[in-house]
Amino acid sequence: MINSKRLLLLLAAWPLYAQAAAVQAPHIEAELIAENSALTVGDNWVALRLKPEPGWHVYWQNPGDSGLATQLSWTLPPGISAGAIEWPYPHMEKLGELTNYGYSEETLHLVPLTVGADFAGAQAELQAQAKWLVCKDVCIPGQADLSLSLPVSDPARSDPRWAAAFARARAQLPQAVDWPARFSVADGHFSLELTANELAEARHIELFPLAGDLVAHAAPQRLARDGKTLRLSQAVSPYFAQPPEAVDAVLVVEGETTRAFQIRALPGTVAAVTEPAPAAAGGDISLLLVLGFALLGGLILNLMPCVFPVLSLKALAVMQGGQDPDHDHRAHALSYTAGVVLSCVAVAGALLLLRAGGQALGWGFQLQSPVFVAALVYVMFALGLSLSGVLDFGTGLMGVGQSLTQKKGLGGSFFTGVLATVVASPCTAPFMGTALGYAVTQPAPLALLVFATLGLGLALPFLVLGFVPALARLLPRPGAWMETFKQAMAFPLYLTAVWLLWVLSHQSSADAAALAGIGLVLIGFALWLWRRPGVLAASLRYAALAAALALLAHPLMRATEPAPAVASGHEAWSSARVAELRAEGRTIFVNFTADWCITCKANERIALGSSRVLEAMRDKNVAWLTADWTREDPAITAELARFGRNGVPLYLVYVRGDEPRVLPQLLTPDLIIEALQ
Amino acid sequence: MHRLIPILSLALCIAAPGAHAAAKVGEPAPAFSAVDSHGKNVSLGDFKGKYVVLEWTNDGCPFVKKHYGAGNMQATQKDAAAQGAVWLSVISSKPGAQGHVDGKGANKLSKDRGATPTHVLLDEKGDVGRLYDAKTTPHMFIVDPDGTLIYNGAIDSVPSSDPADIKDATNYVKVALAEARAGKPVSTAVTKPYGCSVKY
Repeated sequence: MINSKRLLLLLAAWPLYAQAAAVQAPHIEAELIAENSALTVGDNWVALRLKPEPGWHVYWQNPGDSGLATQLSWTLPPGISAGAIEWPYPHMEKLGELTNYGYSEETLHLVPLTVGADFAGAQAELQAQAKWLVCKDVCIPGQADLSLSLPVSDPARSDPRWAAAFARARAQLPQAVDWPARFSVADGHFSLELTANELAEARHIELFPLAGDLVAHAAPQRLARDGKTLRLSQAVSPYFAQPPEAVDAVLVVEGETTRAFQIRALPGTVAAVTEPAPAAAGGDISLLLVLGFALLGGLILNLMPCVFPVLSLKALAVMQGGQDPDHDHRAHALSYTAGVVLSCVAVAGALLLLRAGGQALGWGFQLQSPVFVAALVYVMFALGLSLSGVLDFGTGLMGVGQSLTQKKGLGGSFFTGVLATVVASPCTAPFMGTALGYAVTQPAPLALLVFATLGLGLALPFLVLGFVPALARLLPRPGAWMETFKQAMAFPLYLTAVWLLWVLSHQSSADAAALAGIGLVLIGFALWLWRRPGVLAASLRYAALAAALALLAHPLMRATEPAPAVASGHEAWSSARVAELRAEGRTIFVNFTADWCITCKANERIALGSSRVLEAMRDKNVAWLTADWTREDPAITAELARFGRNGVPLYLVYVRGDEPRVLPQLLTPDLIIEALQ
Repeated sequence: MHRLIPILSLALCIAAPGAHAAAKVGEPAPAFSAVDSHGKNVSLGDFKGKYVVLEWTNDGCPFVKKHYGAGNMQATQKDAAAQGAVWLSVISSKPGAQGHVDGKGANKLSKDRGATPTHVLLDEKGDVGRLYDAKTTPHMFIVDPDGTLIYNGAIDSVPSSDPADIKDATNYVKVALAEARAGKPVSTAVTKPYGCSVKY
């Protein structure tokens, strides 16, 4: 059977089984190998073995953002045919801002090889040209003409050199499955939903679509799992044209073992997953640290000007209660804490719900709504009036009033807590920005936990006061002075109301502020009527209150289009403008602010407005950009998120167009001048 | 009243428009200015009224070598010039990375390769690159005379580093320019670019 020519060839090709040579190309080794030492008639496995040097990689069939899939073209004797490469599942290779799909380890690119019964001969000469792109930070295209000579015999013995490698490679081949799977593309996001038992125990899941223009490869994959059902969303590729008839993809599921599945999804309706997966957004900041920041931030909030008027009321209540043996300090402290924590969680819940609905919002978002601001003006004014003595405390309109006089007014303490949270929202304290910025990128339960901790921090001083009577005894003795103090406290509240009216006039219009002013008169009228007897007075006061509330629904109470409300010498912020100025190498100062943000206003008055700072800015030809978040602005919300923030203020300095540096939330002139150097 | 506040504020929150994307076909091309290889400040706005082709490049990249080595990029530049278009080659490699050159180096490259870009922009900080989300070298963009982006993607239709593939490939830039000049919509306006990663 073996002719002399073949014999010579075989002798030359010692040892007698498979013959091939690995080709050393720059940064990679390539070789054609077979699973068995001989081919048999029927199905066989061969493979292109690629082994990049450490740090280098080659590409999967969809290479991702850059790169090229490895190609193999065969030259085979008659009677033998090769299939396409069966790709083991790839890995994500992150390279700066790009993400590629490929292999950095030795990888067998498996190819099914069929030997027909009509194949004549005892030895098969297999030839293939392989082309690849091997990359580290730079890329080198390579190619090699590879050959493999194998006897054709029966039965086949496995080749001990490669048996294990083939077994491993086959375990890495995605298993074709027909799991029910749907996909949709909406609002710039690709979303997939699929159900399978294999998903229930998964620790980590990654999706690799076969099409290169479906998803933005570097964008995070957001997962939501409910038992056996997985939803996954990822931003669509900038090169995405239109939804395909079906999406083919490889799903890599890490559990006890790592397995890959070849799935096919058909068009359908899938709700997008909006919260990033914990692993993707976790960053290098631990939850415990964040909770610490939240607690500290909440505690410091007590010192911020926003909360002061309300806290003074609470202080009064504590002093009052201090004299009363029946007064249950603990119960009041707990009700107050419950009020603060629950309203923090409620605000956070609303925030998360609205964000899930696709709105770009952040801390203090409620103050971006003119109706809310106007309503807050009413509340401040009504509280002020009650402190001034217009309204009888005992009649129970104001929860806070109750807590001042009624022994059992736990509801009052609770609502003082609610109010403290509501008025605290225009302030952010140091440590708080980091905590809240982290919180909103987390799954809902974690986010709510962070907000609840913030509330606990805010409530902490009075909680401690309630539980440590010795501390309460340090407070001044109650007496006639308290009535005077109480009345005096009305004035900070009136000032707060005036400030909020000013915010409203900026946010909406002078007309809206005037409407709110009319509402205040109506409220004053209603409260004045409160103690008057008779049906007429009762109906009038309710009518006045209803009218005041109706004014809130007036069409004028809406945010107007952002006017160029930027101070002279400043420019409005946009990411494009920043890029432009950076390209020019200018030093840039960006002030993320809002009219309703007291911390921002304080910084602008004390630090940014100081003549030394202005002089330094002029000297260094600093471009001063203002990002005004008084109204909703998704671009600003997105930029805040980029810096891990969820609220204002945020101060950035780009020295001579360099990378941005984040300044603290409480500024001093020296700090700014130093940062500009 | 306290209870009313959150309800009111929830009910009246206004829907927000979508966040803006960097460079999107059909939308105004992001404005930029950068220093060219002669030290001159060049802004996109300078070329209002003309077609502008942006080419991200890196002379060390095999994919760039494919198109310059075979004369394809130079031919595309000449073709664009004949249509009155401005050609801006942008180098976004950071200092020390592959493809980073100074002005002199850039001019020498153009001379050696017989390239005829209107300007070579030195974008070593990567600002212009990031503004356009340039991913690969080459990565091509075309801006029309109104400043609207009309093409974003690959130089041609065959992703490979083999010069032999050029003859069978459709040159998307030539096609898009010709179509736009003829007043027709660009048939292939967005493609996935191929090549080396931009060395930000």
